[in-house]
Amino acid sequence: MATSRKVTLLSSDGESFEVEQSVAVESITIKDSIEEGSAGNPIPVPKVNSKILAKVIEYCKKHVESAKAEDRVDDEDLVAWDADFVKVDQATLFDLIRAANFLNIKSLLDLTCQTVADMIKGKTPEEKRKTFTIRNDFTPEEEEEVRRENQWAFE
Amino acid sequence: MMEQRRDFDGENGTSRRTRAKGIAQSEPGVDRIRALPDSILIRILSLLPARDAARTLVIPSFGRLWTSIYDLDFDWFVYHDCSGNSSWHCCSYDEGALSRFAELVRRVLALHQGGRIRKFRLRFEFSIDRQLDELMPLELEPEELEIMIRNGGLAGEVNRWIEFAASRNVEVLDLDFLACGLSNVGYKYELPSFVLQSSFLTELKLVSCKVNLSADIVMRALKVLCLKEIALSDDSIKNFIDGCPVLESLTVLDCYGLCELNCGSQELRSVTVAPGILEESRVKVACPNIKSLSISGWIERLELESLSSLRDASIDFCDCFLCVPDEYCEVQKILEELHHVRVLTMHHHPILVLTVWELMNLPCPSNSWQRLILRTMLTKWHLPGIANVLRSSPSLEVLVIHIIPGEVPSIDAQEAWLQLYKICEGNYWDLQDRSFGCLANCLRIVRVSGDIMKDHVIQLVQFLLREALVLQKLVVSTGPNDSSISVKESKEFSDKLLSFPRGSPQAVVVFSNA
Repeated sequence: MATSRKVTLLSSDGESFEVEQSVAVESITIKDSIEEGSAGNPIPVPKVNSKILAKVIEYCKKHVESAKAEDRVDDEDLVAWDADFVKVDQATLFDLIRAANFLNIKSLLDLTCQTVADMIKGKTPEEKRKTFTIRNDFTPEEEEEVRRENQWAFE
Repeated sequence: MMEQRRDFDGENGTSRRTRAKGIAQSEPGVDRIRALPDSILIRILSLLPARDAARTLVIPSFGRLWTSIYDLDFDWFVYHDCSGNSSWHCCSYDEGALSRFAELVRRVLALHQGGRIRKFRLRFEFSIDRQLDELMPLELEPEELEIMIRNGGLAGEVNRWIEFAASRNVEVLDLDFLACGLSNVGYKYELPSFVLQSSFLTELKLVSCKVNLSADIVMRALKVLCLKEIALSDDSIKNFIDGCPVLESLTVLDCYGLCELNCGSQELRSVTVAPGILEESRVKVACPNIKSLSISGWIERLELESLSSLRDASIDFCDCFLCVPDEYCEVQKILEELHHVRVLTMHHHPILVLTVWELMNLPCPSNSWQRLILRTMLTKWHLPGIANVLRSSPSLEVLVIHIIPGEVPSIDAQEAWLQLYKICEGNYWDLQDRSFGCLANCLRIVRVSGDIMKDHVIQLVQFLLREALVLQKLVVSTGPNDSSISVKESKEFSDKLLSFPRGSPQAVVVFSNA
């Protein structure tokens, strides 16, 4: 029976999280630094605050547990769990994207990017702007011109 | 100049016109899209259909990043949406949609800047009827006509689109030239031979096109191959298999001329095969190292051999299953061949056959299935079949039933057949007096999902809870598209479910209304 190794992760705002090593290495960034022997103890995770790091750890824990489970029926459960996991406010969603990118957790990055893509798909530009609170927009005249020049996209 | 100063509200860091549009800003001056690195924005845009990605050009925050997406998905569905029509409706050819679709593809490819394309998908109905109408009056020689058709007009354009993708070392190529059209009608697009010689392709899917079978096939990196409605000859599948040494998954659907599917390779793990209606001869499948097999279509044509490594299988037939009792021996033979798999998936037609056997007192072949997945409607005609398979599967540990909506099978011939068999009304399970081995000894997990708001479902679940003596978990969940269930109905169902007596003291019952 393998001994469960634990590592400690330190968020950018100074909070410590103790996790199983098998969970921590879902992040390729962390995995690489452990293997190279360059990871400190605790392992600092700059750019990711405690609120987001807690969520990321929750995601990794769930996915590591599911991979161990013998019953493959739980694949459907996992998909439903993932769908719930990303039902968060936009600020958190975008922070999760950045964290998944920095920590190199492919499945989390895919999940969060797909969520944003689904928010864009099928929406008119007006709806997109409303959804993402975008500033420095085109003026109505500028937009009209861009549309006219690229009519093929708006047929 | 004066206008600009009036417009910009220095204090709040926003422009007046943005606020005037009434856009809610949770934090002033935050543009989350712009704050993400380009590589991530490109990743997000690559998940969109090409037209949606292109449309972000009217939003400055995205800039021209859409021109760098690495997945190009062109589906003419955005111009030709016939999903509302019944399956028997024939669309007359939509020239307008084709012309808008072709313009979209041309423009996107012309403006594309990324150096690499990972996935390229085309889906539209290829038709050169209009071109033929124009060429006929010219009275060309047959060879000249052939050249015009193959290289000019629409075919020539499609060649250039595929060349574009190939020049960017495309890895996943998904070409569907049928879409919603009628199969086996009209002139088919001929795939350029260089596609079958690509050293970059890892996945290739082809629907309804001509393939030059005499050319060399060498795709050293290909792992997934899917052929649908492709005319094959004797050796062609062999050429594909020989030319793709790392092939892991092979799918052959409705491909006329498929005689044999032999593959001794250790790499090939999964095969999906559905003989088409035009298939005249037997189709032999002999792949001793595969782990997973899925069969459908006219399975009467199939001859399965040496499947010793198989771990999971899926079985279905096409709608036009001729319900003559003698033909069921084919199904029996197939179930016997598959008796040793760990996981078996059955769709609703095989279950109807099991029903007939049950009513004629014939058991389903004995087996060692550990996990049974049923994808079926649940009508009174399916219940005897389910009883039959439960009784014949002494090793069953996990039962998954996904209920698709639908009542009696829709084709008249099958309705008549079903009337031949008498099935009592009322609670079928209360009338069962024989024992069900797996329920007493090994069934531990049951999952029921989909169209669950039916009497048959509640009765079946009640029966399982009562009889499954070592049950650990029962999960009942509504389907993902079931938005029509009211909170009240949901509560009633859940209450009833939780009130049923349980034969297993440690059974956990979960109801989920997603």
